[in-house]
Amino acid sequence: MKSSIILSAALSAALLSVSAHANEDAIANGGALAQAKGCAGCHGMDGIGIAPTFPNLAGQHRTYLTEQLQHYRSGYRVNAMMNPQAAGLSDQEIFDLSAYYASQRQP
Amino acid sequence: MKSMIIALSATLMMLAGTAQAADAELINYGSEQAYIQKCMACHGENGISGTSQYPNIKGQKAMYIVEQLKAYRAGTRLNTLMQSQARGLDDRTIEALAAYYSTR
Repeated sequence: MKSSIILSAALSAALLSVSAHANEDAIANGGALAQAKGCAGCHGMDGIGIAPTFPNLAGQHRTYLTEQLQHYRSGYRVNAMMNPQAAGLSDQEIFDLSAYYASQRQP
Repeated sequence: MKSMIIALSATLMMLAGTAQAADAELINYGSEQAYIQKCMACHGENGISGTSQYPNIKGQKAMYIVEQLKAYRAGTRLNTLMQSQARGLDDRTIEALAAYYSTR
């Protein structure tokens, strides 16, 4: 019984550390994408929009960011600037970009 | 010349004061409306939402919030919940809500 508790604790710790690594990788990759795909040109590397109509993304919920990028990509959400921006993004890129901006400090 | 500058700065300061009072009034109205219109139920009192599908709007750009609420109202941005929420809002209420949440 005791050993099974220890085993399950060790297993959970290992799983947590795997997911923490996955998250760190996503954030690092998302940061590179924010630069490469031009997101930072309007939303900043810190996720603070550079003009009054460009929303802040810093500290936004990752789920929300992912959903909006998917909506821009599919054309469900219409925006002349964001539709072409999102058109070329893969699911993985959307996931990573969302992880990156969600990890930035909220204004 | 010097007195003209003083008169001019006094006028400017008065204008700035009026603008601040107007802002404060709008923010105050926005805080009431955020409660009455139930924005707070999902987006929180200070714009931090407890559910990951609902965006945080704390400190969001006021102009962006106005644009999005008007798009929901017009039906150019699609979301069942937000379209019905925005349908009854007039321009002043939208501006007040944006003023409130953008300054949290």
